[in-house]
Amino acid sequence: MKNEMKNKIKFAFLAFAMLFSWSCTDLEEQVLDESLSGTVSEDEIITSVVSPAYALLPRLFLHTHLFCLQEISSDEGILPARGGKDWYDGGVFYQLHQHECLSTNNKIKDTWNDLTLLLSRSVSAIATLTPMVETDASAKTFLAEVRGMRAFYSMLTLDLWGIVFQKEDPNELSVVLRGDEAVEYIKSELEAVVGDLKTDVGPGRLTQGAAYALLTRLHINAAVWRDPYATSFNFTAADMDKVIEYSTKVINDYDYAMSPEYFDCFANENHTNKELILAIDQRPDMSEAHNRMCYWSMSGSFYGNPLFKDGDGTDGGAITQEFYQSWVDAYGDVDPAEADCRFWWERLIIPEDSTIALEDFKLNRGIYRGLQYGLQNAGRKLPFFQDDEGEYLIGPIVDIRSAGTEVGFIDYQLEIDFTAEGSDYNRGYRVQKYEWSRVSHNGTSKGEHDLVILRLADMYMLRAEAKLHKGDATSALADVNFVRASRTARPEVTPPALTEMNIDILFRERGFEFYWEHQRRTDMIRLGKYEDPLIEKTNSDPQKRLFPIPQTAIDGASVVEGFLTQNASY
Amino acid sequence: MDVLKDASATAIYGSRGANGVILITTKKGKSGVSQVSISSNVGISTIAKKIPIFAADEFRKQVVAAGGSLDDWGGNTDWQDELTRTAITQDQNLIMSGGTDKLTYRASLGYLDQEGIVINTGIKRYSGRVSATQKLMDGRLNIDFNLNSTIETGENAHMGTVVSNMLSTNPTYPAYDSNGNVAILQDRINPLSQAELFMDFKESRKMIVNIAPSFEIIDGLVYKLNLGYENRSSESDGQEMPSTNPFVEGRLSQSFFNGTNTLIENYLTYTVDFDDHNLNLLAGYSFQKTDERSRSWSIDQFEANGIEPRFNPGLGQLLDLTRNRPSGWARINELQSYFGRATYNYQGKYMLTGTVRVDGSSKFGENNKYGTFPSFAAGWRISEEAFMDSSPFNNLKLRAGWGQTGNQEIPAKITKESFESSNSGKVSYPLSETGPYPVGTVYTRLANPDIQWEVSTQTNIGLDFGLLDGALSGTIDYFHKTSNNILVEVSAFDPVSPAPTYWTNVDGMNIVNKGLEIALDYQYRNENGFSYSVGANATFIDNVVEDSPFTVLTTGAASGSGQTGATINGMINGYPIGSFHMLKFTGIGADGLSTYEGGDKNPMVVGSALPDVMYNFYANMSYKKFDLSLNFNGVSGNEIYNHTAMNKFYKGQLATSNNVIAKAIEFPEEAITNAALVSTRYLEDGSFFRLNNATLGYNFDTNAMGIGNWAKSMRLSLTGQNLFIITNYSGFDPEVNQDKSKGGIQSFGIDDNGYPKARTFVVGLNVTF
Repeated sequence: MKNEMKNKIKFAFLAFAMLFSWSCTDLEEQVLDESLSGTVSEDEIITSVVSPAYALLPRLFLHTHLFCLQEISSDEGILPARGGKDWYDGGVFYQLHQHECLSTNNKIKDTWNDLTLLLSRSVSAIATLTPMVETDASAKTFLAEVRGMRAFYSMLTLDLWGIVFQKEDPNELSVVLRGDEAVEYIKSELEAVVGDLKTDVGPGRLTQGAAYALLTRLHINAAVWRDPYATSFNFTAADMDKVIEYSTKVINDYDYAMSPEYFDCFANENHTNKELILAIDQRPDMSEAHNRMCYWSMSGSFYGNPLFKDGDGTDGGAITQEFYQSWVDAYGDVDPAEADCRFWWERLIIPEDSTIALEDFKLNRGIYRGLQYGLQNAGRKLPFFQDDEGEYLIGPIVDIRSAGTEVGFIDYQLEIDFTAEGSDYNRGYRVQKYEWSRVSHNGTSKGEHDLVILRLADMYMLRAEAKLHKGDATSALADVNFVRASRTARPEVTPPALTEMNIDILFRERGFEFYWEHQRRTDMIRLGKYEDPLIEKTNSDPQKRLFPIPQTAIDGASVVEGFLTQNASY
Repeated sequence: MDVLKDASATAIYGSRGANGVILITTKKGKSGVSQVSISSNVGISTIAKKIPIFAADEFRKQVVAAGGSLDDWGGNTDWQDELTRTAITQDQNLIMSGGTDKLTYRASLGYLDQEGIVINTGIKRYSGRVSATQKLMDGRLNIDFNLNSTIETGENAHMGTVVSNMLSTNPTYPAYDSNGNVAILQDRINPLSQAELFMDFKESRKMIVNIAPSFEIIDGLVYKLNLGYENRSSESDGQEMPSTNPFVEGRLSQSFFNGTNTLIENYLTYTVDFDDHNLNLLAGYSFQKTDERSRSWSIDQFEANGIEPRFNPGLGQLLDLTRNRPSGWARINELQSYFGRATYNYQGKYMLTGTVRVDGSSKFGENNKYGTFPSFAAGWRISEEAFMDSSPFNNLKLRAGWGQTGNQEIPAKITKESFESSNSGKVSYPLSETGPYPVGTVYTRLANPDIQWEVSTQTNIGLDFGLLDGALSGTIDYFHKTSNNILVEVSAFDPVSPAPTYWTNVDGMNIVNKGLEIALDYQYRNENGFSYSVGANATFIDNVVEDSPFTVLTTGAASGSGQTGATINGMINGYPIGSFHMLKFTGIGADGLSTYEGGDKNPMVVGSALPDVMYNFYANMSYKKFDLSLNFNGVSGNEIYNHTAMNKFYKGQLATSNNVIAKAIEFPEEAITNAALVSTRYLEDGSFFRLNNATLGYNFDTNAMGIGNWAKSMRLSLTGQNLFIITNYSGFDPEVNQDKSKGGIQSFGIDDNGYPKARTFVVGLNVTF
């Protein structure tokens, strides 16, 4: 009996021990669906760290990111809550237009997140590429490009929030720079790398010409960025000389040329347009490539491509009454569409039988007004009406929101504001500057056109501005007229030469040339117009020139005392 | 079913029991009693409450009165009636059990066919279970065996869309045409067609097997092993059936899931009894591993030739990486624990328990894989004391306990840094004119090896009592539970960081739950065969967030047109975790637009989704062969955010010919362009009182009926579920909580397209042979 008992005990403990050791684990977490070490082959290392530093640019230039911060806050764009609800989004677009932004504004936060992430990726790339420079020539070029792009991103954070994050080592805390320090830092970076940049890899990548163009932009805005709240900016002679020097260099030393057709700068094939200096290379089969610049402003009843019944617009932002008035004031009795090729390009020629073949269907470009003609269908996102030959029926566009009893048509009205009436879906003249993608199935994704960051016309216009500051109005006038006269593709509407030049006319001209190109707010601040009243904006506090740092960033940074302080007045 | 709530009781279950434990002990066979029983239930369900949207004629008047544009299609349709139905459910079960004194067994088969009250919804479930207990070696070795297997298939229309259509669709659309067929509508898909063409087909299988031998090595020393294994898998086909009229392009999306769960537990217990002392010692080791994976993909554009895409996905004509990129994930998680418990008992009057548990999880970093969680409990059976001999109490026990448990419910892998390498647009960019896009590599997550267990510390004091010889009994419990080291996803402190957020334990922040639970039961029996029992329990609870370093942690993401970025809940210092944080609506201003307290940029705490009191009471009675039981439950002191009303029921919607309820137009001066913002206008009282179950049963006397030789017992029952509810909430049902979590923080009390609730009557017949 005792033996039996002993055996039982031995057996039990043995079993216990076996199971114990079998199931004992060190609790090391096994990761099956993610790479913890990012392995790419040797020859891929360089491109694998450089491409992320560019990759989020399409996202940064989304209609709800950088675009609305630069355009809706200006006299060029406005977005009321359509019909009282669409695009209300917690009032963020009202805040932007009225210069009453809260630190919880999520469009500001999204733009901040894009830029800080691009900065972080640049820092990581620089850290990887720096030790490789000795042995690899392409590493040297790419290092220069990434440092240059980092400087560009810093120019944006400096412009929008008045701060630059200086960070050389990914493992260290960034240093926050403001004012003169920040400007000097960006300048030193661009000047250090410009010699190592190539000239023939653009416009999708940073070229030598693009770096000089960025320096031009830096110098013209330097006075603002050194002291953003100043009552009047101190445009130093040294800065203006640099603007003239660099812009002349870009104009003369490189292979850029003005595009005879203004809207070709924004075409689907604009990648090879010689006017583009720096642009975001969009490819339709990349997930971030978007068509938002085309779809956003257009009506929800409007369709951009006969091949895709789902490609509609969304009744987003429109131009302000003030901006339209500036065209009317400039051209007096002549309708802007007949005076200036940049205002309108009629491309949708409706045949007599009202049906059009696919290859003949082209969208009008520029500023859309009044009654609209376009593709016809039975209802929202239903197939387009075609005749027996497959040609598409074109007629006045039916407003889908009025279907059923009383049929209404899309008829854009000039008067747009924040009142109940002024917020209706058909209010405001619309913009179709970029070309609608030929392959986008839903109107929002698969954009083909490159998004323009810098183009040659800007070099002439900035040179003109610098010359004005130096007192040489004649020279400035010559440069502005050169830009106007370059648009020779449609001679009847080539803008006629101006007869005089001053800051106000220059400001107006920048509006005509660069409307809706992510620049207006910067121009308004620099040329002293940002505090001027608009129909729906009365705030004239110069401290609103800078946006609030997002509350999430302030909260996150509060762990380190005094690291990140909120901008004044927020 | 047992519910364990105090820290000491849940200490044995560790982190999985941090929020309480429900112990379900399944039925086992009894030796010497072999029986077969059949239970058959048939139920009829209908919609318990319809939302009072306008009928067609009223709608026509109101749209015009509101100054909107009326789309009058000439019909007269009640879309709630059209899209819901009377649903039949049947539930059949066959159970066999029996055994000898050494072996007992129980086996069952079940079949459930449940239709949903929304059209084109329903599931079928087939289940089988076998359990057996074998005793060997003179009772020293005891083996429990369980095998449980279920197959479930479901065919469901997209509930969210159907519910949305049910409430908003213009009632002047005809549902059927003059020939009685489903009407083809001019400018949209008929909701009836939509509920038929857009469906999800799912099949899932689950098998759990469990074997638990326990062996008494020597007197008082028992070793028990518990081995469990669970295997689940499912496929889900989301299908949009291609059709010409109405036009549907056709789409198929499929997802596949597999999961296994392995559990190994070892216990060694030793009991020692001498004089009036009783000591019970337990030492144990537990290991659990879960392995889950999921994959999904899709394909678009099918010919409308009557073939369902899910039967041949290859017929799809459009497949590209931007629209149909496959995705998947795979996760393994391991838990390992060591625990020990000592229970001491003197004369059955004084009890002391101490438990220590060391839990480890693979989710935590190198530095903090394990947490130590002790707990203690003491009890005093006052009624056993000599001085209580003459008291009216037949039972009086005082209990107190204190304990800690850990929580590891965080996403996997967050302690590790990770990289993403791919050629997707997020990380790739064309660096050359031609050729493939370069693979981009980025950090996607910062490592945080310091992540550790979230800890809950709970104290409870309770009194159990019994009077009148056990006829009246009850308990009173006070509890206080503090959770700290809370795990939250926060913004990176350096804005220039590879990822904008990271998980961390928040220093100093506490979430405190405290309250009182009271339960009372009374039983009565007389000699005439009449007996009844009534009882009630109530929980009073107070919850507060303390010492949070954040101004406010928002969650509860609102959705819908114009709602991007808006939030409904907020965690703020000094307020409950389920607080509502939003604008306070103060009426309509002179311009016809809403006015808010402090302006429209001033959100504040306006209520809580957590109730102040939850209660329940029941009454059971039986008289001779009849029995009746009633069960009521309710809550009070909470609010619900009616997100459905915010999206659908406002003047602007009516003005564009969408249906609304009368409350939406209660302000005649309201402009039709007035925006519906997240505000107290849609925050409603969520208290309710419900009769959730009433059952009337009749037990036949099989002997009197002459079938006593084969049928041991027979019972007929009639049950009503959700018979009535008293509430001010205007949505379908106040027991609702949609997941609108944001940034890893759960949301509370939001009703966003919540499904209609059913009222069900079930007739059941139970026969035991």
